[in-house]
Amino acid sequence: MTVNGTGTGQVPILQVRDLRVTFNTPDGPAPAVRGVSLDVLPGETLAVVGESGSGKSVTMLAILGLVQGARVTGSAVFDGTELVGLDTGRLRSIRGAKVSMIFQDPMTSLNPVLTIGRQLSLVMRAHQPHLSKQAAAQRAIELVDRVAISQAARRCESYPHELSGGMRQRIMIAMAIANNPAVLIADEPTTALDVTVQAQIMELLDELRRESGLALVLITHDLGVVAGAADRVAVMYAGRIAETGSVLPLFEAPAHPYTRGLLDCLPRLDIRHDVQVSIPGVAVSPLSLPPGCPFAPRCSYAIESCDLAEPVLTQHGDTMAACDVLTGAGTRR
Amino acid sequence: MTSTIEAPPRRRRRRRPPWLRGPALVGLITLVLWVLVALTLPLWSPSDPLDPVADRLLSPSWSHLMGTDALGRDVFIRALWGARISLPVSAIVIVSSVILGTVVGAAAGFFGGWIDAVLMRAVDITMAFPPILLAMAITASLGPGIRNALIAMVLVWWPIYARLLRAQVIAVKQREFVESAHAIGASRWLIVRRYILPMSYTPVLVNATMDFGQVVLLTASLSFIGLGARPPSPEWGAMITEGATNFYQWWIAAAAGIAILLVVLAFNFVGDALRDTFDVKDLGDMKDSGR
Repeated sequence: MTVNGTGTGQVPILQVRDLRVTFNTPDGPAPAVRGVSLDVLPGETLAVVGESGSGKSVTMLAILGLVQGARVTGSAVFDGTELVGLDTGRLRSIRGAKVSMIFQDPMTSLNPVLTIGRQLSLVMRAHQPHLSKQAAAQRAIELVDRVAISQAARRCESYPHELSGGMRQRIMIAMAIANNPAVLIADEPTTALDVTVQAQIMELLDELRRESGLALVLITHDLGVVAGAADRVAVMYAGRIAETGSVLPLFEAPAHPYTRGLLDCLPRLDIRHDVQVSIPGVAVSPLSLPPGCPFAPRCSYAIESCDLAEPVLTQHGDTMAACDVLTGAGTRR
Repeated sequence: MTSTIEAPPRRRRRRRPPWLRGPALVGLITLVLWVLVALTLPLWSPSDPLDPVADRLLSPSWSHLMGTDALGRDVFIRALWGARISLPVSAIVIVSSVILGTVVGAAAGFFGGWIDAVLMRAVDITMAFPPILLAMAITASLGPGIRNALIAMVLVWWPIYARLLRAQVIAVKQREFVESAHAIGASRWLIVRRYILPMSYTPVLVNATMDFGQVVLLTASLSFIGLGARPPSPEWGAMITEGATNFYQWWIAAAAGIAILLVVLAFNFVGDALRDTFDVKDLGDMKDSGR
């Protein structure tokens, strides 16, 4: 079964179905993720795009059982194993070993009191208890070398504060691939970095994906990064997937008004911009969702039926979009 | 005309760290001397602390620096031997309390929820009593003696470290590198041991140093009221009790008193400097809330 327009007969390595994450807040339940379904194929790059608060990070954290104080329902099957509701011990053996995650801010994601080499060894030995300390140390040096840091042996003796942001993100990547995972989730891996370093990190991630055949899930709000790196894209809005498809059709012929809005916001070099385009309004809060399409209040194409019921993902051209305007029937508000 | 900018004169010596300067250095030297005395005393002590060496109640002289007590024992030598009781007892109390407090505080801070609630209420209950009073009650119920006094002191002393460590653990466990350790599949034991504790320990260690002097004092206090070491032991508190019965022979109590003073003061000097070095804040608030 292929949903979300993977368009191939490949068996997904990670299959998410109707994932829902609801946080309990003092103001009532806040549904941060509301029925997300997506497939990650082996060796591909899937970009999950959305504004802050659209639920893209929470979706991925929930798959690994890393959200606290929230109710998670639905299904996330990794390589035949259902991850939702799996006990902590078994989840732990999957985290970092089969599904790894790297975070936005490399400056704070490394343990400040351990050397780089020790941290890498710890990660490996956590999943491979029989690995000797010497072998782990040796492998740590290889990993640091693998992520294109020179003088790997010396770097392994360094503490995180001695390294630059770009280097630290490379170390985070080395840590994430230390146990040869099948899926690498990168949560805004370049947001905290210098523009010049961003491209290098993306290149490194892409290279690792091609060499080791891991699937890369790229969480980002940067459409520029998506265009260059992704095979497929899922655009999220208010905890749901608004549109998903292969990267080319989605960029060339976006169906959903939200995707179109996002793309319009990208400054282009070949057009003179006197005014920077933006989508009017702000993203909805999960505490006060409208009954219909969550994007309707900001959508300039919205029709009456948009306010009545939430649209479902359906095929529109080469992509799948959740939008009633596209199905046609209805009158303009 | 050209003006030259002179390079600032190079500092000859690096400034010594605060714990090697001023009062802290004095304290450190005092402590080192006391420890040396305590360790080597059996090798060179001119007399046994329990054996009479001269007439009773001699006033201080060159042959007996702090005179003799009611049984003719050399008070100065006895005061030195007292270090062989007070220092190890305090060390055991502090180390045991730190270990117990660490386990409880780390568990409470890391797991939170009902574990935290139960453990911290135990801490609150213990800290609600003045330490000397609770230590007295426990020693009295266990029966007087230095070993029971030691157990009692550990029981009243650990909560402070549990509370300190819990606060640190709660702060550290929310830092991103701990979350990324979770994401990488590290076990909870590994995360607590290698990620959280090393970042949480400083206030506990600084406080433990400062408390050392307090425990020396508490040991002496318990012995003074007859719950800790008993005569003829040369324990400082017990010596002061003996001194109190020979009130006009001031040197008996004074020798032990001076010994306590020197040790407590030295620990406080060192502890203050350590606190300044590591910039541990708000210890006062947390400590004063119970004692």
